[in-house]
Amino acid sequence: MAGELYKVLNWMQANGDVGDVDRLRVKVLPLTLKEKIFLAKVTQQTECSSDLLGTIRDAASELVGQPCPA
Amino acid sequence: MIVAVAGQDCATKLRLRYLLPQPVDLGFLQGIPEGQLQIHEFSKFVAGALDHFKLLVADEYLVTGSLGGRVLEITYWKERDSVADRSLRMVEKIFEAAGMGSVKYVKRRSRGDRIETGVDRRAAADP
Amino acid sequence: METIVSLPVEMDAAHRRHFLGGEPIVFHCHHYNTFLQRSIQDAHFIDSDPFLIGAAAEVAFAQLTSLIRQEQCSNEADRRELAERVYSWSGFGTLDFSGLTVTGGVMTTPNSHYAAAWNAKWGAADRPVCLFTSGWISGAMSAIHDRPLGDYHVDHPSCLAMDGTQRCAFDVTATPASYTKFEAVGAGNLTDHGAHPFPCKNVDSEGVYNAVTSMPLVGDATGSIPAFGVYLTHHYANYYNRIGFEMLHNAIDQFGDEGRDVVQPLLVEAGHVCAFNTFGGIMKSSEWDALIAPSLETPEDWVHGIVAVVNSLGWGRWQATEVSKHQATFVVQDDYESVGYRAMYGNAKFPCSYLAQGAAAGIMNLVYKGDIQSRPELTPEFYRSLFRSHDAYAATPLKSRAMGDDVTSFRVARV
Repeated sequence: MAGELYKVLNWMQANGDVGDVDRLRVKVLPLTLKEKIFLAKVTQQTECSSDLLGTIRDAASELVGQPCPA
Repeated sequence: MIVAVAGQDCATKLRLRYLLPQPVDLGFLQGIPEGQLQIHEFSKFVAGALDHFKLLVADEYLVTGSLGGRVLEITYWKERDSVADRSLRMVEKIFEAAGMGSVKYVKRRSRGDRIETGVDRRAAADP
Repeated sequence: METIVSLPVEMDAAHRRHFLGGEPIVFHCHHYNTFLQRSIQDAHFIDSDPFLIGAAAEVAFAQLTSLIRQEQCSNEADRRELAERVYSWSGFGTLDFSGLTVTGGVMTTPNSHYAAAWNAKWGAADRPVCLFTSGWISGAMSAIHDRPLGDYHVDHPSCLAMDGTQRCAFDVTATPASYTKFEAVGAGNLTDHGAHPFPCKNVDSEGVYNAVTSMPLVGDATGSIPAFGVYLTHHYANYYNRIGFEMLHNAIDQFGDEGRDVVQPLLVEAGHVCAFNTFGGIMKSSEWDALIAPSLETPEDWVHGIVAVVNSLGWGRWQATEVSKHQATFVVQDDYESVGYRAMYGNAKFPCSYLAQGAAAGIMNLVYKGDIQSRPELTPEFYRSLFRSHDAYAATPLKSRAMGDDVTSFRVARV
């Protein structure tokens, strides 16, 4: 799963509103911290579980208002 | 001739900015039927400032601008999509009656243009 | 546009703060109000309803209790009328307490600032949004009936912000409320200070303050204050403080520094939103053209001009002590966030004037990046172009009154 989370955040930056990534961070904070992931410090090397990736992708899609590509 | 540029207020109401051929004076405002006029005497507080006015025609539109300026801003009270031609025509008639000519509606100017208040600010500062 | 003006507002020009019934009041627009509430509600891990409602009850109860005493309203009818007047004057909409008795009742209204704003900004809501009003009614009922804060529970079953709803409804019962009860802190400790000198000869800051505060910016018959292209409210500084800081503290309690790091940008972003819409609207307004524009010559003058107007909003004394297109320094005395933080929680461990931080950056982005002088439309696209790009201005705190410094200040520069 390395690099997938990074791609989701990049997609959000490119397609979302100002502040959407900040909104995502607060929405999924308890889940990301369970896996010791800090969304502000995600790199291409950051790995996460497929469950978390799915949840983040869903939340990103909802915030941006269009499906986040897999 | 009057040039009118469209903008929006709170994203829902139509606001037009009319550039008039002559400065607005109290007589012109008092001639607008059913208008409730409010004057803010800014010139009493700041040297060089112009007095500001707000004129409400209930349920139709709100007119704002500076006394001595050539710009009138009119916010039409109804939602943007339902501003009736009637309201626009009503305003056009007021301009015609004041001898200011017809209204030409144009798209808003591109970014980079300066504000046109229609008043030389240095001249306005000198009594 | 009937206006309601007869309220004993105290204009404290020395501190650039405004008070009504002992509560500090500040102007803010519907964009800020809804953005802040949505940001707080985005944090699903925080149970925010109790403090979003409780903070409103806190300020309404304190303010109305004081005003009732001040205005010598001894009978219930006078007290109800006073409450309705304060609410409408403030721009929150309209309320009619006549159908409520000491045991409660049902109140409905066709005018709600929060509901209308939510709808205009985000579209139809999926749940009632007038939490502020729910708390305000509860606090007002306690004040009207000489009962302790928290004696009235308010349900909000339907809301104008939701599809197909014509009125907001509030069910009021004289049973213990489930919200968090806070003790009001009022004005807090203000400093004895003189103005900092600022390098601008073209803006008569004192004159602008006197002119703007002389304007009748108060609620109309529908309890709205449409001005500068936004809907303004005379809101409670301590409502904003309470809800923002409770969110922050909750996040820190649960997640430590990461909680703080996640919440802070949202509160600063709310400041950007405020600056963009309210300051942008002001700098495009006919009032600006009449009062301030005639004397402006340079972009730096535009910064000083809007700062002069900010001084009229009740936020504290603002000054831009150094301004260029490269950077600026903003010094704020008695900023309402710091004063409120210290009064509510004691000295802060970190700078927490988030609204001011976002607003200072917003001013620079509007003037130097957005060329507000050319009257651009204040659209979401324009907002994105100003604040998303990598060369946007951002503010860094230099001093914090909340932490015990003499002032709050920021350096603003391109990122």
